[in-house]
Amino acid sequence: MSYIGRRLARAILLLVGVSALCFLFTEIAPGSFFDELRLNPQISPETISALRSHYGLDQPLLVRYAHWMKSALHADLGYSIAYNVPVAPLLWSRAKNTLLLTTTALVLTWMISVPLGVWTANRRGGLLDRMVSLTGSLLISIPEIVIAVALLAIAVRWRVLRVGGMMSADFESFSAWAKLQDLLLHLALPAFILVLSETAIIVRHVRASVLEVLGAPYVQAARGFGVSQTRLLFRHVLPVAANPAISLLGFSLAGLLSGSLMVEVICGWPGLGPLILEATLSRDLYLVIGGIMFSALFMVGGNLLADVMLLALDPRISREGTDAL
Amino acid sequence: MYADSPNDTPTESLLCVQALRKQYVRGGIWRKRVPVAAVNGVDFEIPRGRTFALVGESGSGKSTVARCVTRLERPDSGRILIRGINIAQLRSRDLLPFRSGIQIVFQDAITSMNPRFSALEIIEEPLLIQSQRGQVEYDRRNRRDRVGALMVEVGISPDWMHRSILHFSGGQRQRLALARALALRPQLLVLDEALSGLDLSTQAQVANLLLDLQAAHSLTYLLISHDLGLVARLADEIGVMSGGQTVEIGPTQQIVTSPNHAATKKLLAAARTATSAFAAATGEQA
Repeated sequence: MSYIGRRLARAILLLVGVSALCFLFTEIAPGSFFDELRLNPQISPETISALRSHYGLDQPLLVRYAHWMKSALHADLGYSIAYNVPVAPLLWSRAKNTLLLTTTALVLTWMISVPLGVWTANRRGGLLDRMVSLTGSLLISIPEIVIAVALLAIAVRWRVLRVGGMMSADFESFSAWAKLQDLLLHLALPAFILVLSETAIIVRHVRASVLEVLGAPYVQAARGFGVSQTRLLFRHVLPVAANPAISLLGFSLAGLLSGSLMVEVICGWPGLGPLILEATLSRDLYLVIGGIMFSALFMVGGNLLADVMLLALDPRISREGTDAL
Repeated sequence: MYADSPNDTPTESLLCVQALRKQYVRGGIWRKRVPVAAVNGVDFEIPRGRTFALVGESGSGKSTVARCVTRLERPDSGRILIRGINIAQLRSRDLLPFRSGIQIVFQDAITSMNPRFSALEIIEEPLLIQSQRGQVEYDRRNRRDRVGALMVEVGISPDWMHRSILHFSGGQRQRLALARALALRPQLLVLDEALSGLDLSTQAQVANLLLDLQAAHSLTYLLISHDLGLVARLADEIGVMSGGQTVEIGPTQQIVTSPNHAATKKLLAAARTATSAFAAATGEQA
């Protein structure tokens, strides 16, 4: 089986495993969506029973899982009890917003982290390196939620950015340019929070990877025959140092998504975060499972993307399986 | 601007190292910074076309000397005279004309080559750099011909030039490392434990190759090793290092037969023990 084929098979197995665990844990977890209805004397136990039967919750776990699996293969993730709509379109309408936020944050994070990591490694021990290291340590040690709340408070006080939601109330009356500006102003704060907390981690990883390669004997040998610093960096150091960084990209995508859920809740960004939080609090079973599956899909997709990039950039991987190295 | 005039040193010396010192600083932001003297006063001289060996136990500062001589490190003080010109404190740009004349071969041929390169790319790169600087005119075809010739010279078939270096054995990689070093037609080759990681048979083959190359190109070798047995076979003169200093220098025969310094005696005793242990082991097997 090819490298990508193996990775794809592993990704599918992972998604099946996550879905199975989701069903198991939601079954074990105490309480259900209908618990509040039971407290209402105007709703009879028969009605609740009928509702449970309507959503298939009266069936054994394995049967429910098999039914869900079958429909999930046709992109049907079940029905939201609270919203009374199919889960997949509901999740997708929110996932688009989350994707916009995470993609923006991801691109900005890597655009900042890679040059900064390479620069600080190349100027190890210098003033910039020390400053970046110190700032990074501070950002890593402060919980993301504190950073988010602090920046939100600053944004509200200084009124520099739009806070809450994804667009202004009179968005529809704006011109196309004004709409873009409005969207960017709303996007800026949650994206900045995500960039700030992720950059601190990724700069460290990139710096460490580059430092490791810079100290490699083959880089010393290349220096010995007078390779310029630019060629040394772009021909020898970066292609090799890219491997761990690319692997990190996959995890970074998953990390940004899970981080964005919290940031979305704090900043009022209408993404998956607030939706999953509400679904979890109200025990909207299939919406919770669908939300988790979306997250898992992001993570698996990110890792697959990283694997494809590694395959494209590292000739050793394409030989994997055909050569005994 | 070069610090010394060519008249400062005897003309027959290709390399002359005088009072070389290099220290590193351990510690950092949170720990106290402590200077550690890796090389603390090293002097030696190598006539053109000869082999000088620096021997000493691990941590004695041999490799730091090699790195200073090849100017992978800038020494703190002292002089490194190449054909009479002191390169010890030259800036990177001023060092460029000297780079091609001094090449280094490291101990670990696996890590001393870019793992993503083919044999062709490994050997071709120094030529490419020289061409880009306009030092030598090499077009693509000329470069390939030269790579092929170098591969033949070190005993590897040029048909393998497109193979990834991962496909070569340890001994073959060391031969490729030699080919890369020879690509720039250096006068001085620094062999930093270049034979240490090889098995005995491959070590002997590469040692013979080194002798052949020296005869063919009038190469001057600075051989860094902890193995006095091997050094005795290749070197014309030996310098013994201990605690960052050269404690004894003399012709190979004199150092091996009548050592003066305790460090030399200790190294010789270790070499004899290893030889007798090897003989005993092979005798038992037979």
